Formats: sequence, structure tokens, C-alpha cells
Amino acid sequence: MNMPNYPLLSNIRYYYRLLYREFPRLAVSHAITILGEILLPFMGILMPGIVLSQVSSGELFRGLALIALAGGVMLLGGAIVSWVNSKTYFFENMFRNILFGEVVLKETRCLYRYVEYDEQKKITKRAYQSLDSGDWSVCYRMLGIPRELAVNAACFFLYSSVLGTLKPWLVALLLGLSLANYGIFRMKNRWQLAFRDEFAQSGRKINYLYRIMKDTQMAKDVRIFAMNRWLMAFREKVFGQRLRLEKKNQRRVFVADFLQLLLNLCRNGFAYAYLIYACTRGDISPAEFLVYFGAITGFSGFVTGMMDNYARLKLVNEDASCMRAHMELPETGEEGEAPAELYRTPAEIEFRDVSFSYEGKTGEEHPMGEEHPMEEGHSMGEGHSMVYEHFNLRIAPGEKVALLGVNGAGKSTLVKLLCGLYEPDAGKILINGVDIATLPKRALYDLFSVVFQEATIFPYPVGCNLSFRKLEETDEERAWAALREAGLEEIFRERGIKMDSYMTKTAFEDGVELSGGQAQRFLLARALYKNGNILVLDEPTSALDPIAESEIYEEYVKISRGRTSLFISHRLASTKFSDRILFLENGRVLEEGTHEELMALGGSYAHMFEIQSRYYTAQERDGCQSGSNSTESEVTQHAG
Amino acid sequence: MPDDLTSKIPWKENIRYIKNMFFYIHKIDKTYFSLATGRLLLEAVEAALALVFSAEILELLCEGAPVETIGKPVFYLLVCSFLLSTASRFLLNEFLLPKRNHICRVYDNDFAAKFQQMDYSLIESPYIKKLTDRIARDNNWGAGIYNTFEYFDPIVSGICRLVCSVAVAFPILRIIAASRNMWMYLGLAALAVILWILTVAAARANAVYEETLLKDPSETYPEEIYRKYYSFFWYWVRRCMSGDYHFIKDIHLYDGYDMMEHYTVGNMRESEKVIPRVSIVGKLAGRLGFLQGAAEGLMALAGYLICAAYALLGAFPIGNVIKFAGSVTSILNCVQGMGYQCSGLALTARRVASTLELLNVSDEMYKGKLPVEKRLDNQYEIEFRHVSFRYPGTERYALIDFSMKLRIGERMAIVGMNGSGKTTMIKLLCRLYDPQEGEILLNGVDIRKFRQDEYLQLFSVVFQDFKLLSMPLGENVAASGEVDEEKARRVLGQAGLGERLEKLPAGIDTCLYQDIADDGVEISGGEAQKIAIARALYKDAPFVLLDEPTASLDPLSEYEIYSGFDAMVGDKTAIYISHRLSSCRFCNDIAVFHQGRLVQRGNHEELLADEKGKYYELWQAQAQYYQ
Repeated sequence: MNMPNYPLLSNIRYYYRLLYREFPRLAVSHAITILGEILLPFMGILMPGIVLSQVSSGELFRGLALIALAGGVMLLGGAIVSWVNSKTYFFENMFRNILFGEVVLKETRCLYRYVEYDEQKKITKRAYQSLDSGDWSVCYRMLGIPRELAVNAACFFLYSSVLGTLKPWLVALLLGLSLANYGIFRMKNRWQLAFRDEFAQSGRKINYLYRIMKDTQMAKDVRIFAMNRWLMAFREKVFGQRLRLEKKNQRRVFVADFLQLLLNLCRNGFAYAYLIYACTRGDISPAEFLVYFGAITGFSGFVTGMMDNYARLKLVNEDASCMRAHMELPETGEEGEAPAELYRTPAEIEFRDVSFSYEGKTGEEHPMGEEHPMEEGHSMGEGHSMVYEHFNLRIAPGEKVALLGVNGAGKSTLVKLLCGLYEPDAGKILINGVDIATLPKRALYDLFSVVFQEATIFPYPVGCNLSFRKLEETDEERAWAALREAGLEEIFRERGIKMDSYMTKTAFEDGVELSGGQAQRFLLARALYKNGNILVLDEPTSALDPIAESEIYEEYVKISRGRTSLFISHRLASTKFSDRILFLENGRVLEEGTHEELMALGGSYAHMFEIQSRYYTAQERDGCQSGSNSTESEVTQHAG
Repeated sequence: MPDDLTSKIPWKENIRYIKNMFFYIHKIDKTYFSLATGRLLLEAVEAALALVFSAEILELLCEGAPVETIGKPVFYLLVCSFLLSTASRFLLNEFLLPKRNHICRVYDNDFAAKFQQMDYSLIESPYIKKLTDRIARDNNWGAGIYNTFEYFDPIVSGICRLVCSVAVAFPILRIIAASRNMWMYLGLAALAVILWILTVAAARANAVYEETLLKDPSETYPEEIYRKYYSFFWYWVRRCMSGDYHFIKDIHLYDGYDMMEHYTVGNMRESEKVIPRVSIVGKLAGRLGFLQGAAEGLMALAGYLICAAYALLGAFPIGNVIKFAGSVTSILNCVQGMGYQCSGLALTARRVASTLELLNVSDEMYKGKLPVEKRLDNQYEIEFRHVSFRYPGTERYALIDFSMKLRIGERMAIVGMNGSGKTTMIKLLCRLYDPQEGEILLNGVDIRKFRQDEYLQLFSVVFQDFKLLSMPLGENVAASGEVDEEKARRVLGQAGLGERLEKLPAGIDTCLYQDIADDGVEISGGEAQKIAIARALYKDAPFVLLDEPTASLDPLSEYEIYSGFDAMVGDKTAIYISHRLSSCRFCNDIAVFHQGRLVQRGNHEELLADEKGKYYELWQAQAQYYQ
């Protein structure tokens, strides 16, 4: 796939602009740092020369005063640079955090297909990874390396001009030596690069090992099946491999380092030979000897540094581009007018000739790093990536439709298509006759109250969780009303839960935790608060016990009155409340009709019902009507 | 738990922490510290020799000696520094760097692995939770065992360099001592005082800075402010990085964009205005940096001034001025830096202490030594006798005065609503927890008296949240690195994966998932279940338990899995847990749990006859759809 690639300079500008927008004062700090890092080392080279020349001049007080002055300047400069550097670090660290937060926010804002599409996921994943590694994160490097590069370049010119005043050919010669030095450096990097894949693979294993070891969900299995020995043996193997790999790599590094030391030996030998020669001839004084010698040894560092930093920048630029590409994804908040008929209630829904496949969008159902074994999903390699082909469906205004099908029948995909989270490859989806592809996403999303299978309770205050607004913007009365309707008000009042009580224990010890049934009711309250025109329930009850499930469905039916509703389930519970049942298989409506019609048809639905009901109906002898009545009264009691 | 990082502790404690840390590292690698010391010694000698020889060169230059005479020290200098730095580089690359990384890896992984090794009941205990929180905090801001090396090196090298520098600077030290020059003594005294002030100031600045940096923000700020401005961005970062993006659907459909912004970046920016933590820490770090920079500059200046003054007074040849200045500065630096480095090492040790404490947590459960009798006829009988249990750190009892006998060779079903204690009972049975009251007996003997590993041999469980690893299929089935291939194939076939197995590229050696191998296969939820079931069969234990591994499947599939499983287990004792009554209809023995108690037991007809019973209620809730 194509990784995004922005020009280097434009990326540097991009990051610095973001940084200075956040912290304008850092511009001054950076100027001080750069200036200090150029001048202070240079002063360090001059200093021995000054001392020596003053000592040889023999004037006690003037000499000492001059030395004190020069040393004082260095002292002050060093202190200031060290002060500014330590301070800047924390602001840049906060900048990284903010950037990290912005990357998350961007993922919540960009078009949903980018969140699930494989190609974009790789880029986004890399953006996350590149920000994760603390002082190695992309923004540190993208901000820090250009500064280092600037310092190196400035020093290069400074030292060249100093050495150039002595002998211009000296600069040329040193440049040659530095280039040789850089050649070795490149060679070292290339050698190391050869191991890159091996390192990545071993890193992957080490990270995985860490992850599974820390995974307490696995802890029961580990104990029952005595898996610890297996895990530890795996660890020994992985760590052993890594150690050998590192040694192999370090040996190569050593060879390169050795060559560099050898080159340094030659350079220093030459520097001594030439400078001593010049000194004994009287061309330069011993003090100058010291300064020039310092300049020569420093020189190649700057040349290597310049080239190395440039190479590093090029490398970081890939990460930086990924992050920027992620940050520049189109968002859902596009402007646009929504026609008035869209809001007609109850709404009418039509799928017209819709086709959708996972072709070229692999990894949607099985995103990397996330393997919930229970999740509805396709088995890769078996290749039924075409989910819908010329799919047609019409839901009349106010109709309650139950979508039934076994796992993997494509039910959730249908919901995502309807809500506009996915876009069909061909065909149209119409709501009240309006093609949803023409709508701004926000207007479309606004129509629905959806409870997803994996709906999230956010670690935010209760009010925010209902309104999805800031607490100040939450209509408290409406929120309580929604809770009341969902049958939660009493429990919440009893437990002293307020609108500003944080939910879940993610951040605060006293966070509100809800049981499975309560959580479902809460999600219902969220849907009620939003009061969307179309109600969609995507298997919200799959993990509930039968009593809780039946209670919840009663509630759903209550709120579905006067709304077009879609119940998705693999349970039969939902069918009881629906006007029409659609039995889905392999992306086609296999059977449709009311319960009676489908039973009369004697097809897959009837078969499913048959099997599931065999157990219950076999016991039917008498009084099933009264039985079911008594259950309902019991159920209501239990709800309290 | 170690004291808080910011509280003062006696130095003895500090030394104990440092000792523990060094012992821990030494246990992982016996030779690291001696090799590291050797390398630092080489470096110090190299630096000292460089000073001596370059001084000699300079002296000869100043005297105007002939080139040939100067050539000799140049030769020595070049050769010595080349050989010594080659040797030190060799030690670093060949041994020290790989060893360091290895130690860090073991340390990190030991921490993680402890969660698979400690008593299961400890994992969720308040003590371990608190300790884990503490570890997370201690590891903030780049701590960890790696810092040991970052401080160990400068300390040891400081000592080596101090010795070498004193040796080099010995002549000038003697001159100063013998000079009886009042001014010089006064100057030195003044220098010492200023340096002392700077050092104390830097130490204090460092203490304040670190206290502010490491202090838990929840302790620093009033609770309501802390809560108001809490930013959840790390939480979301972690979730997004792990590939969990399901929450994003909710944000889109409920227009939660502004709410998300508010609780992440918004609060981060906002809180910086109200409680300018970054500015404060930055300011403190800046102050520390300034003091350190000033001290360093002052020492260089002092070295030059003192030596220049003596050289100007004619105490020694001017060629020596650089050598002496260098070594005097180096002495001052070593002495001044030592305090800072030592406190850094102590702090590192304190931050590592919480992790080491976790590693040393010993098991809490009593584990007997009684061997479990191996019976070919699988005649084991288990009885729960008045068992009460609540999870650590909770008030509510998950099981109350619970008594039950498990009959041998029979199929038993446990039904009940969510939270009725079904899974808890399994966990107690498998000794993941010990009950607070009552006892569980195996053939009449308290299960605590048996050897834990042998006792666990009796059970095979497929939990609701079972986990497979990204490792070869065969190893997953065997739950071990040593696989009986024949057996693994057989159980996979029994579990209904025979056909799939045929199609796998590397057969039983195919890696599952792609976490660690690109050629691993992705498997569906249903296939994962079958593998988990195969794993349970492979173990061939006398008790097999299915704890709703199929809860999110459709009832038809669940029924098929349950009844299919029933056919596989043969004459073993099998226990099925489900909240769907239909799944358990083949069982003659059904136990109904409600609110931590066994409320009913019997076969289907008996239970249904009791119209006030829980079973009837559960049954009706499901049956209504079929009427």
C-alpha cells in the first residue's frame, strides 16, 4: 500500500506551527537553545587557548581577569541554556499529549469508513505507535532533529571558517575524512537495517508475550490447564533469540565503531603532526595549537551529525507523514442542507439494489489486534466477502421489523449501511425518499436512536452518557425523564447517583457500575434522550439472562411506538413484538412475513423456531395462557 | 507497600531498596556489574592518560622542543587512547548493551508473568490492585530498572575518575597545600562555600522538582478540581491503540464529538490554566537546570583560574596549566556530581521497590501436600458443605450457605440468572478462590489439603471468556509446548474441526491469529470455541465444565455445541452452565441458582411442576416466545 509522503520541509513547518500555536513562547526558548548550543562548545574550545595565551603573557591580574570574564560568560550561558532546556522539555511533553489526544479525537471525527478500512487503519495505527514511545515519539524527533541539524550546520560553518583562516586545504581534507567517517556510519546503519525485520519480529513476540502475561482474562485458563510452564518456555525461547540477535547486531556495530576509531586515530595523528609542525615553525602559537586541535576534532562530529540528522529526519518523515495524513482525514461534519421531508415521522426506509462487499476492505470484521472470539465474524480464507448483492428492502413508516439470522448473516453490516457508517458499493438507501448518500453525515446520524451490540458506557458523568453533550449542556430534566422511562430512575435515586456522578471505575474509585440488565436499560435511556426518528437495536441483549432480556424487550416495545423500528437478533424474543420478520441468510432475505406466515411456510425460520421451541412446547399441556400472564406480573415485581 | 515516593525515609531504608534492586539484577545476570565496572575503569584511565600526555606535548611545544622529541608523547597518546577506547567499546557492545536490554526485558516480563503465577484470588484483591496502581505511578516519567544503569555508570565512573584525577593533579594539590598563601586559601574556601551552596540549592531544587513531578495529581489538588479537569485521553489512546474502536460508532450516532473533545484535549488545556502543573514543573525543572549549569560552569572556571594563577606565579611550567585545570575541574565535578547521582540511584531503587514487592508476593491460599488418588474408574465425589463466599474487596456474598453434591458420571446443568453465583461456584470448585466459610470435599477430604497441581488435574473447564494464544494450533490444544499430535488431531476431529484442520497450511503446527506470525490463520468465534472445547477434551480430566462459552451464539448453535459436547465426554462427569434452559434439556439433574443459593434441584418435570419456583419463572420467560 502507499504510505503518505509529505515533503520534509512542509512537515517540519507543520509540526512547528502546531507547537507554536499551542505554546508561542517556546519560539524564544528554541532560539536561545540553538544559539547557546552553537556558541558554548565553541567557547569551550577557545577557553584553553585563552588560558594558555594569558598565562604565557605573564600579566597576572589582566590575565586572570580575562580568564574570569571568559569563564563567567560561559558559566552564565551554560546556566541559561540548561535552564531553558529543562523547562522546554515539559512543554514539549505536554504538546505530545495534546497531539495524542487530537489523534484520538480525529479518529472519532473522521468518516467512519476510515476507522474500519484496512488501508487507513495501517496509517492510523502507525500514527499512534509513532506518538507512543515517549522521547522517541514522532513529535519530539520532528521538533528536535531539525534544531540539532541547524546547530550542526552553523557549527560546521563556524569551524570551517576558523580552520580556513589557517589553511583552506585543511577544511577540504577534513571534509574528506568526515565523509569517510560518515560512510562508515552509513555502513553501520545498513548493517543494522539488515536486522530490522528480525528485530521487529522479535519485538512483536516480546510485546505479545507481555500482553498475554498481563492479561488477567486468561488467568483462569492458565491455572486450570497449567499453562505457566508453556508460557515460560516460550519466554525463554523468545528472550534467548533476542539476546542472540542483539549480540549479532552489536558485533557489527562494534566493527563499524572500530573502523571509526581507526579513522579518528588517523585524523588525530595527522592533526598532531601538522599542528606541531606549524607550531615548531612558529606559524601558530601553542595557544592557537590548542584551539585548532579542538576545532579539528570537533569538525567531523558536525559533518557526521549533519548528515546523520538529515537521514534520521527522512526516516521520521514517514511517521510524521502518517500522523499528518491521519490528521487531515475528511471529517463527518461536512456542511450541507438536509431536505425537510427527511424529518417526516414515522420514517420510511428503502434499500434499493444495494451491494456491499468487504472486498478490498479486509480486516473489517477482524481488525488487527482485536480478536473477540465471540464476535460475529467471518472466517478469513473461506472468502465470503460479498455481503450484499442487489439487496432490496422496504420498511413502511412506523413498521417494526425484526431481522433474524444466524451469526454471520450480515445483520450488523446492514445496520451500519443504514446509519451511514458504511457506504454501499452500488445501489441506494433512501429514507423518506431521500438518498442518504447525498446527505451530510451529521444530519443522517441525527435521525437514529441506535443501541449497538457493543455499545459503550463512557467513563464520563451520567448526564454526559445520556446526552453526549458536556454536562453543562445536558438537559437534566430530560435526562431524568429518560431514566424514568427506562425504569432506572428509582435505582439511581436510591443509590444516590446524580447527573455528575462518573460512570465506570476507569478513573475514579467511586464510579458507577451497572449490572448487565441495568446497562441495557441505561443504553435505552440514552436512545430515549436522543429521541431519534428511527429506532435500531443491534442485538443488544445477547449476554442477558432470559428474564432480563424479556424485561428489556418490553421496554423497547414501549418506546418503539410511533417509530420505525428495526430489531436485530438471533433470538426469537424480538419477533413477538414485530410487524414483520425478515429471515436473513448470506446477505439475502430468505423469508419474510409475520410469524404465522413464516411458520406456515415451513422454511428456515420455521425450522429454527421448531428447534428452539421443541423444548418448551413439548411440555405444553395446559394453562399456558395463564402461565404467561403470571410470568409478566412476576417480571414486573422483579424489575423493582 | 513502599512509602510514597515523595515522603522522607531513613537512609537505611534507601540502602535496603538499593540492595534489593542490585540483588535482583544480579540474580538475572551475575557478571553485569563487574564487567561494567571494568569498562568504566578503562575509560577513566584513558581520560587521565590523555590529560598527562597532551600536557607533555604542550609543555614541549611551549619549550620549543624539536619535533622528534614531541613525537614520542604524541605516539603514546594516540596508541593508548586507541587501544583503551577499543577495549571499552568492545566490552560495551559485546556484553553490556545486550545484557542491559535483557535485564530490562526480564524485569518487565517478570512483572507481567506474576499475574499468571500468583494465586488467582490475589489478582483482583484490593492489595494487588493498589500495588499495581502504585507500580504504574512509579514507572511514570521514564523510570524502570534501566535507570539503574544510568546512575550506576556515572557513580562508578565518578569514583574511578576521581582517583585518576587526584593522581594527575597531585603536584598542584601539593603546591597549593605547601604555598601558605593566605589569598589562595581564602579563595579556595570561598569556592568551596559557593559550590556547597550551589550543591545544596540544587539538591533542594531537585527534591522539590521531583516531589512535584511524581506526586499523584489527585493528592495535590482539591478533589472537585481534580475531578473536573480530569482528562481521559490516555484511556482512549490505550483503547484505540489496542484496536478497540467500537465506541466511535456511538460518538457518531449520538453526536458526541464535543463531549469527547471536552473530556480529552479540552480538559488538558483547561486544567493547565487553572492548575498549571506543566508550567510549575517546568519552572522547577528550569531552576534545577540553571543551578546545575551554573555549578558546572563555576567548576570549570575555578579550575582554570586556580591553575592559571599558580602558573602565572611560576609554580609550574605553563605547559601543565591545561592538565592541572582539567584534573582540578574533574575532581570538583566528581565530588559535586556524586551526591546528585546517588540520590538518583536511591530514587530509582524506590521506584523499582513496588515492582519487586509484587514479584515477592507470596501465595495466600493454603496448599496441602496430599496427593490426589488417581482412579481409573473416575470415582470422585465432590461435595460443597455450607459454603459462603464473597469476592475480595466486595461486601455482597456471591454464594451463601451453599451445599451441593456432585454425582459421578452424570450430566448436570446449572441454570440461573446472571449474577446468581453459577460461575462463582465453578471458580470455587477449581480452587481459584477459597470459600470464607464452609468447605468443599473431594471424596470426603477438604480440597485444601490436596496438592494444588494434582487437584487441578481433575478439571477441564471451558470458560465464558476463554482465551486462545497466537501460537501453533496443536500447542493451544495441548496447552503445552509438548504436543501429542495423535491425540490433538483426534480431539480436534471430535470437536468438529477435522475438516478445517485438513485445510490449514501447516496442519496442526499452524499458528493461530496473526499477533506474532504473518502466516497465522484468523479463526472465527465459532472455530475458537471448538478449539477451546478440543483443549478441554485433550486434558482428559474426570470433570468437564462448560461455563456458557456460547452465550452470544444463537440458541440453535448453543444447543448443538452442548449436546455435541455431551456425546464427546463419554463417562465423565460433566457440568453445564447456561442461562438458556433449552441448552440443558438433556440433563436429568438440573440445579437452579438464585442470588447465591441453590434454590431448586431435580429434573425438568419436577422443577416445572413448582409454579412458584425460580425454574418455572425462567422457563416461562423463554417459553413465552413459543406460545
